[in-house]
Parts: sequence; structure tokens; C-alpha cells
Amino acid sequence: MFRENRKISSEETERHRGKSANETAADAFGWKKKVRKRIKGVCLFMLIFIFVPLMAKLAWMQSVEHEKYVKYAKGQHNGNNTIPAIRGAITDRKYVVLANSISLPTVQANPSIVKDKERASLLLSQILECPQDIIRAKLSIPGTFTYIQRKVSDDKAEKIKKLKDAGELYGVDVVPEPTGKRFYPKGNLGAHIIGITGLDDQGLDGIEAVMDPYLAGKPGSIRSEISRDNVTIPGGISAITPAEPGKNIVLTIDESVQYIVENSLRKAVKAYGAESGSVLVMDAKTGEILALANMPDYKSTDPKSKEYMMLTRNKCVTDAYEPGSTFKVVLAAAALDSGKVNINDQIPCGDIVMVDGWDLHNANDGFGGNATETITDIIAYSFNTGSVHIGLRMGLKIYYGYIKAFGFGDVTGIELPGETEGILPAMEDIKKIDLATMSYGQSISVTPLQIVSAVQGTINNGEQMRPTIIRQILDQDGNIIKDFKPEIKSRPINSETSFLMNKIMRNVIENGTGKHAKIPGYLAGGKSGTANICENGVYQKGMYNASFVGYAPAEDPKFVMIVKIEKPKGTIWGGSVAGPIFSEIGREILWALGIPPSFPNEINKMAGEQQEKTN
Amino acid sequence: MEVRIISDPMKADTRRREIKTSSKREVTKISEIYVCLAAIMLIGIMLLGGIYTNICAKNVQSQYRLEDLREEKAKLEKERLSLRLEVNKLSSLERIEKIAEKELGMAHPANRYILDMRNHSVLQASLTDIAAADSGLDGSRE
Repeated sequence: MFRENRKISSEETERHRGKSANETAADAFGWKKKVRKRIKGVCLFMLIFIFVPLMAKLAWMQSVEHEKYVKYAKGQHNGNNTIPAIRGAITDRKYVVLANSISLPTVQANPSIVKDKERASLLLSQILECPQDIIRAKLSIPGTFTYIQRKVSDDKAEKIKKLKDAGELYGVDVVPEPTGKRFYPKGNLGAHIIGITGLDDQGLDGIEAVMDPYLAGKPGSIRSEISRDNVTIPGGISAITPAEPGKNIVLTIDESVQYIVENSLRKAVKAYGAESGSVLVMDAKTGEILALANMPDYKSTDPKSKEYMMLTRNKCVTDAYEPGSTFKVVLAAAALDSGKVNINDQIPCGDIVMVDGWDLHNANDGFGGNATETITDIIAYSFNTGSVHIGLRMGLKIYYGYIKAFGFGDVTGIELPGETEGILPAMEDIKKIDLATMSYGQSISVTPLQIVSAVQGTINNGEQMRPTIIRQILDQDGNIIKDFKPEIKSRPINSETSFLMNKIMRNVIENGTGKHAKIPGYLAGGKSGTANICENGVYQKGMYNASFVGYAPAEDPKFVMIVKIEKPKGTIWGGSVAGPIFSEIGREILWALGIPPSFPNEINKMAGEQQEKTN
Repeated sequence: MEVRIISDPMKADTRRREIKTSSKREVTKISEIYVCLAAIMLIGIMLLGGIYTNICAKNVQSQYRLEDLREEKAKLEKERLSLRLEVNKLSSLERIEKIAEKELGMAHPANRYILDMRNHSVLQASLTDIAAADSGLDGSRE
């Protein structure tokens, strides 16, 4: 109606303007044509500029980018569930577990979808026993992922899962970790040997670091279709890559011996007010390390503290020190083996000897010497001047050759990180005075391990074994993958010299400076050492390393042990400080190993005397 | 082919009706057969569908069971490791020593006495007796 009226009115208007009806119809047709044309234009425009690009994009996505979008799609409905790889265990020689791992879940969240962050943080802080502020801060970060707490206990994980099932804690997930959490069931025992692992269960120090390629397993995965709630749809598993668990490492150390050593050393360091102490016990026949300890230990120390780094040092292998008189064992062995000194030779042994204008004298330890002494007494009473005469009689070339043959100046190759080769100057740099001081263990730096290894070679018929701390590598079923057999490293001296050295070293304990190292009921041999500590190129007054290296039983040695006490207060002499510790540890080890005493009456007599005193 | 021309229109009409009825009957018969066949097929399909659904359900059920068992296995393995850890913790020498000293009032021996079995005549005699008894036992077994 309205249109008709409009038509009429337009016709009237046209008529009024003086146009005929035919003309008006023609105009209307032209207008319609124009409109159609415009519509066509718009459609064409849309087709060209909107639909064609859209189609092109679609074709591009379907053909060129097909794989990419398939991957996206699969990523959305397929999930990868990790199968944790358990790190191998570390055991002692009797397969007592010293370190092992257990897989524990991790709590993570998508902060962008957590609705009530205040309540979520409160609930999580209560379960995880963590301050609410920390969790609130974690949930407030921009982004879609944050760890709330890694490797939580199963109980805590279960509580969180229950809350999640009850509709709380939306956006918070409990997922398995690809690696486990490391546990040390024996606490600090063997801390410097075993080392530590990081948060991702990777080895950072000790055996954990050196044997990491064997210990670390390879996590596996289950690729499957997952539901909206991240639950595996049964039957939807497309691929399973099984996890490869790590290998177990069997050490040569003995838990009982290690325990004895650590306990005694801890007490001794405290008793002498020493800065630190180290003890290393080696099997006298095989070169296997039975125990190794440094005190103070570090596992109870805060990793962020300043002293932590210092305490993590395994001083038995990483720190070189001037060995002092314990090095006279090498001197005597070299002198006898080279034939430059015979066992009954009388060697000048006055109070002072002058070399290159330097006065070298005996230590003021209460043992006075005669004008001449035999090599046995020079070693027994640790005469420096006699040692200097022996060194000079041998000459640098021979002495240096033996020092090298015993392995000084080189790493022993033990499977522990950070081993140092010590400081052995090049032969051409050694002057006469250096040769003289090297004769009593100064002007040369060695590690406790090197000294123990040299003494082991000296008393084991001249066969020096390669020091080792790893016995076997086992798979998870206990099958041996690799067996570390004892191996002879070198033969620095012959068996006759070894026999003589055994006699000389026994005499040190029976009559000489090592009386305090005597193990009641047993025959033992050894050598004490007291060396002034050199810091920043200057010998520090009143600072000494007191050490004792020995073995027992002397008839058929079972172990070689070094005790080194750094900066003891009061008494400084190796025989008086380290000797009693050697005696105490040696006695306990022999009892623990079930070695019967050679002189049981001696033990009974001592016990009777003590009993009388008590009564 | 024989063509019969019926002159009587009434008869012709009746005949036409008969033919119509009979063809109708035939059609009904055929359609009944088809219906029957269709019904049988439908039932068959339904049965097959039912069986298939049942198999699928059982399959899914066993998949769920498999998942559960897999989880159970992982749980048990973890428990085994945890127990092993616990045993190792409990058997630590430090703990044993602490219990022996504090709870049981034990102490390290101050004086140790050695009984040399090699030269002990009474012990030697009892050892000989034991050895003799052992050999007697062996003999009786024979």
C-alpha cells in the first residue's frame, strides 16, 4: 500500500515534471539494473577478497600444512604419559644399599585457569606444608604452567587428587616425574664417596657424578588418547616406549669398615681440635678402597652456606699436601731396591746437615740420634739428616725414577671426581737442596691416596695395584654387566726389598715413632709423618699435618691405612696424633673382618691390667 | 500363446476381478516373504550388533582392567623399593648402635679377652666330640 502510494506519488511527480509513463518505467528499469550490478560487484568483491583467500588458506592448510595441523590435533587428543626411569642404586661390597631412588609425583598448575587462587593456595599449603605466600605467588604468575612442588610424597599427592576429584583445585595437576628422588638410607655414611644428585636426579658429585651414564636410566612414555580430564582412554594407547632403569653400582667399600672409620675420625678431629681429618683404608692385596672419609662431612651442611663447597672436597683425592716423613717409606724402598744403601750400612745421622748453604736438621721430637745409624733406625726414629744423606747418596736421577715408578706426579685413576696428580717438579728444576728436602717429604706434594697406594706397593711383594672403588656394575635383575678385577699397576720394587721394607716398617711401630700406632695382639707396620703446612708460599708457624700410614697384620697384610689430621691443636706429631687413631681404627677393622690376633695373650694381659686399674 | 476372447461382459468382469485378486494375493505373499526376510535380517543384524557391542564392551572392560593392573604393578614396584629403603634405613649401623646404647643399655667392651681355641684342651675335646657326633650322624644317614 505504502509502495503503491509511493509509486503513484512518484508517477504524479514525474507527470508534474512533464515525463511520460513510458519514460518513467525505463528509468526504473535502469535503476534496478544498476542495483543488480552493484550487488553483483559486492558479491564479486567478497568472493575475490574474502572467500578466495579463505579457500586458498584452507587449501594451503589441507595440503602444505597438513602434517602440522595433524600434529596439533594429535597433540590435543593424544597425551604422552611419562614412565619414570629409576636411577640405579649404589651398594657397598656386600650389596648393602647406600643410595637408591624412588619415583615420586610432582604437583603442577596452570595458573591461568585456577579459579579461586586464595583457596587453592590455602589448601595446597596445608597439604604440602609450605607457606601459603609461596604457593599464592606461584599461582599468580602470568602463563599456563608452574611447578607447585616437585617430588612430593605419595600421601600428599593422594590428598591433592582427592580434592581435585571433589571439584576443588581446578587447574592443579599431580603428574609423574620422569626421574625419581634420591634417598640415602645410611645418612651421611660415605658422603664423600657417594656424592650427591640434583633435583632432576642427575649426579653432581662423587660416584653419582662419575658413574652417572650408568646410574641414570632413560624415561619411557605411553602415547595414548586422553580424555578432557587428562585420563588415558582405554584401548587408545598408540605407542609404549618402556623406561630403561639405571644400572646398580657395587662399590668396594665395606659398610662396617666405613662406619668404624667415620666414627673414629669424627671423634679424633673433635678431640684434637683439628681443622679437618682424612682416613683412607685400602685392601692390601687388591688395591680396593675399603673406606674413605673426610671430616667434617657435608651432607648435614646447608648447601647455600660458604663452607659447603669446601666441605664437599674429597681431600683424600683432591688435596695435595707435603707428606713429611711418611714419604721416607719411598726413600728407603728406593735406596734398598737400587742397591745404593744396604740394610746394615751405617749412614751419617748427625743433628744438622748443610746442603747448598742451608742447615737441615732433625725434628725436635725427643728421639736423639747417634753419629751414624742404619736405614732401619733412620726410618724408625725418622731422622731427617740421615734421610738427606740417603737421598744424596742415591742421586736425583735414581730417586726421581722411583718416585715416578710409585706413581707420584700422576693421577692414580681412581673412579672419583677431581683427583689431582699432586706437585712433583720436573727433574731439571730440582736443585740439590730440593733433593735433600724431598728425602724427608718436603718440596713435593702428594695426595693421601698416592701415599697409601705407594705403601701398598711396598708391602705387597712390590706389586702396586691400581686403586679402585668400583667392584661391579649390575643390571636391575642383579646380572653382572661389568666386573672390575684387581689389576697390577706397576712393580716399582722387587719382592726382597718389599720383605725388608716390611721389617723396617714393623720396627717403626715396635721401637720407633709409631709406638702409639700399635694394635694390641697384632703385628703392624707403618710410618709417621709431621709436615709443616705451606700456605701462600710460606711455611706457617704452628700449622702442621700430622699423619700416619700403616698396615696390618704385618705377617699377611689385609689393609693399608692413612690417617691425616690437619692443623691439630696441642700435640702436632704424626705418631702421637694420627698413630692412636690408626691403632683404634685398625683394631676395630681387624675385629670386624674377623682376623684373629697373632698374640692373643697380649690382649688378655692388657685387658687384665685395665680391669685391675678399674677395680 | 493362446488368446481367449470372452464375449460375455459379466464374465469378463468377473474374470478380471479374479485375476486382480489373485495377483493381489501373490503380491501380498511376496511382500510377506520380503517382510519376513527383512525381519530375519533385522534380527540377525541386531543379534550381530549385540554380540559386537558385547565384545567391544568386554574389550573396553579388559582395557580398563589392564590399565588398573599396570597401575597396580607400578604401585607394587614402588612399594617394594620403599620397603627396601626402609629395611636399609632400619638396619643402619648408626641406628642399631643408638638403640643398643640408649634403649638396651649396652656399651662397647672396654676390655676384650681372647680365648685361643687352637691351644685350649677342653675346647679341643668338645670340638672332637662334636666332630665325632657329626660323623656319626653322617653314618646313620648312609
